[in-house]
Amino acid sequence: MLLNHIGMALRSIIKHRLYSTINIVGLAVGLSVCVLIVLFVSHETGFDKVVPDSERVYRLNWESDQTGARFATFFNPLSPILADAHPDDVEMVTRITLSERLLNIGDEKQYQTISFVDENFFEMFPYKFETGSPSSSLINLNNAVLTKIAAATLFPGEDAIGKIFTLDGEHDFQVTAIIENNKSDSHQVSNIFINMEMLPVIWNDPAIWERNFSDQLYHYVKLAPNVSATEFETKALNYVINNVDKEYGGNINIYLQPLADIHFMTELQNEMSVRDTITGLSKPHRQRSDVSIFGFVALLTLVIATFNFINMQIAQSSNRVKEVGIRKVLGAKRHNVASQFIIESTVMAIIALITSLVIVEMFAPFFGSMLGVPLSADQIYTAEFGLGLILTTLLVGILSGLYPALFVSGVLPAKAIRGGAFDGIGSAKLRAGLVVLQFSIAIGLMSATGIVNNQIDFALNKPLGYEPENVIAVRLNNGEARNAYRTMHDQLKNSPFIDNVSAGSIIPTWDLSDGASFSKEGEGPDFQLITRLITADDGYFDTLGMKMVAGRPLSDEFAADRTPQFSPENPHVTGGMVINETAAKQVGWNDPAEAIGQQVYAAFSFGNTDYRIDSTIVGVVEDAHFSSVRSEPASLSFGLGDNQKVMVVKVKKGNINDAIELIDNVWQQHVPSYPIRRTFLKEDYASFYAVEGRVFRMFIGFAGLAAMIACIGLYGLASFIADRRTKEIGIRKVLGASVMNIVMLLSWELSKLVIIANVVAWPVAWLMMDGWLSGFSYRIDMSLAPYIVAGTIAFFLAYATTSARAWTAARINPIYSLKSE
Amino acid sequence: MLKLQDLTKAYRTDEVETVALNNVNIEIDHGEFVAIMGPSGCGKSTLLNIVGMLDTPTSGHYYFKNEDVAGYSEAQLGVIRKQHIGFIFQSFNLIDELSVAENIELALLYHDIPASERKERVATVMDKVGIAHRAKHMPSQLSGGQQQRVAVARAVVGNQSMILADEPTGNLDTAHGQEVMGMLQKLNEEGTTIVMVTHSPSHADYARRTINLLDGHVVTESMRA
Repeated sequence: MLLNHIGMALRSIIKHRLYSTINIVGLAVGLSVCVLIVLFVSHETGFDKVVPDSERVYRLNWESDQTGARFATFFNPLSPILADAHPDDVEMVTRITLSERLLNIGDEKQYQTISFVDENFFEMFPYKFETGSPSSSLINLNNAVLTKIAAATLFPGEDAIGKIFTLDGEHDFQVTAIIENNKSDSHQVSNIFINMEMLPVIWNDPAIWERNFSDQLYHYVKLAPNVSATEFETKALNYVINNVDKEYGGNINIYLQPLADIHFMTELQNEMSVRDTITGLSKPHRQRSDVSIFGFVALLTLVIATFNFINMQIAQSSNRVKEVGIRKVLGAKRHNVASQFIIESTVMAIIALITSLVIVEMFAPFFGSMLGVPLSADQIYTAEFGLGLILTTLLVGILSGLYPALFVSGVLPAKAIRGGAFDGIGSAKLRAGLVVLQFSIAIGLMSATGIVNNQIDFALNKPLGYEPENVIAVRLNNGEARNAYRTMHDQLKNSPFIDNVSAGSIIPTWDLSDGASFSKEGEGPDFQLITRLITADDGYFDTLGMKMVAGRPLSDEFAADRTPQFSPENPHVTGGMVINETAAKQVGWNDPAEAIGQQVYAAFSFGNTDYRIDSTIVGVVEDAHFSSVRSEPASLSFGLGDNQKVMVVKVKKGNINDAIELIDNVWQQHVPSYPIRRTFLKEDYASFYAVEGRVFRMFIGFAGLAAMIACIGLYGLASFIADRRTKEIGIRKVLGASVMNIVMLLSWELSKLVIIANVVAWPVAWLMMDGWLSGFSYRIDMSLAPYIVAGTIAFFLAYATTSARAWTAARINPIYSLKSE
Repeated sequence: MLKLQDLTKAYRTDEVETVALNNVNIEIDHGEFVAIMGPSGCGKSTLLNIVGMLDTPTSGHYYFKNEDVAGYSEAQLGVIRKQHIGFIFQSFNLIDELSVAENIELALLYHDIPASERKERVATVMDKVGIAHRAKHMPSQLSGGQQQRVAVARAVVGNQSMILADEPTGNLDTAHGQEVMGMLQKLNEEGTTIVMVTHSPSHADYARRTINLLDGHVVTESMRA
């Protein structure tokens, strides 16, 4: 019987080719979009889940009470101290830090990111060891562990085990183990591992473990089962205040960041690199809301496609009343007819599912590359995912077969055979309701798309407050280069190819680091100037194209501008300072000119010495976006000093190649031991936003597809209505209606549903998008335009599809439609 | 009123050519009541469709009010049709979703007549065919005879000078059939030309002239005394 039903179902599907194709394609595209998005969402939400007991693993963060900034790093020696003091709470701690070093292999020099880890790192983060063992590979301080791809990169075509590389030209390391590559859904990007005990040597920093306030490492802690993270945070803070240094009190907070949250916190300072420098894969942190939006789009697309499918099945079924009547006359029971409808729609849903699997197989890699996430369709074939997919499909099939099964099967055979259209209970209303809903979603998605697009454009084209064009950033990543900076500066500055040269501790697109809180003599504690500090050289603002809004830039022409480095011997220093607009506003200097000439100071004690920096504000600079345009510009202060980490060179337009050659030569001449590391600021900036931009372009594509599916359904519905109203069209034509009259009549009937859909969609979309936009510090004001555009597009699409179908219907000679029965 | 001259209609499928009307010559004067009879497949309906300008002849001439419309386009035919010709069908062909009054009004909708005048004319014609008390009802709530009266009302509400009726009594019982025939007769007496296809000899007797068709030919024409 079942086979018989399936056979009949297939025949009926073939017989109603147009409907079947429209129906299957609509559902298949909907399912594909949904599956692709779910692949992406589950990849993103599955980050770091593979770590054993991941729900008990946290990363230690600290927060500065002064600036409110929260850091992904934690104080160098503290996690082992905390672990020793709380053996019942802490199961394990391990640390890592990444550092770009110069590597020599034979005669070849290359920069590589080296990861310094505690010996037990591989116990907390289990990598599969291809050769070597997790417990012994790093026992010897001169051992190194490589990922497979790192081994292939450093020692191409050779077996890396036993091979030697040299760090910074002086420290030899021997490869003792090869491990599997990083997973794409792990936040780890390390490829070359060395024992952390080597840090004091490599960084030439013997006091590294003594400095309680240095946060150069990432600390992971695995709590014992049933230990509450919040309780341990308090315990840990109390312990360090009471037993390590009372200075922590009132200055910091300690947080345990769940491992699963690392991928979703975009606002941490000192965040670990998300770029695997060897594979080139970037795993940018995402806003949870962005991932949710994608999930939501997936759901909506599935809903649209499902409604579409149900709609078409209902529409179709009332054309088959006569067939049902004949079956019943011939002895079919009601449940026979009902199951036939259900089987038929389920068979169609399954065909759609198979089609969608083919589509997903084809597009998953492309889609993944657009989003910067390696995706493959393999994931679908896991039990969980596959089962979900099959259940969804069956549900859609059964649901859409249910209506005809329940109502059409109940029709009286005598009435059914007499023919004519069947108007099931409320079937017209139900259809209209589904069309309205379907189009509401499509219109909502389209208007959301417009808003997302406008916002992204706005954010990306917003004045940055600096000018990245033709600026080359050269990293002063070693002592030799830092010492040679002044000489290189002078040499480059004299070149006709170069406009300006300067340097700083931080430039835009880099992470901000140190902060300070300034006070003012004669003002109470109400006076608030809390900034992140940047050390700049003469010409920094000019070179980066940052404009002064009041006063003047820092300059060596004014002897008092330069702030010397403070030290125990020289605890009290003075100098000039430039703040940005946000900092000025924070104090309450609404006119930036008020800030000029103000004297402020920062005082703190450290190791029994009281330090004090006195600064005179000489200028206020325009706000610049150092980090994402999503966040507010930070409050910044700039001082003239010598802590340079990067040299910036503004090249004259059209002289890029000459300038690069010159810069490379100058470097070669003064920093012979190290290859140059330079980038174009413009490219750094672009890569900063590339992913964000791409993700939302993708979103736009999907919303478009959803709208298209909605229109496919509308065409089907128009066909159905045209078929049903053939007789009416004939009568109207006989009575003198022109083809145009008929087209207008039919199109209007569906188009008015689309108008209702607009009324439903706009307020909902408005509310939701307002919520999304509130996540941006710089946001567009919402206008009606995207809604009007989306509504108009939907209306015309609907009008065009229905009138295309109505046109063919209206052209039929009425003698065919009015043949006496 | 109309004159068919050497009119031929052939349907061509892939292999076979079927001649539905073969060299038909008919002349119908203004105010005539003509019945067309003949067995199934003799070409009655084809003839009616061509006369009603729903279809075009393969060859020959069709003079309508002295105008040869044989080569006219669909749109041109449509204009003449809606001014002059009303239709009545065996299966009534009312629109199920519209009320009685709306069904009748439909025939005026495509004539650029102001709404107030349309209402008036619909009311008048409903009185005339005796269904005014059913104006707000839907077709499904009416008996067959009543439905056909609505159809008659619809056919004449536009002051059409000719009514083409395709077996108007075919779906009706004897009493209702008589009623509709009486109505047609009355319309004819008021000056409307009526061309009616029928199987019923007794209903054909209402007509003053009967044309018998067989295999696409006019075999006999008989005048009622």
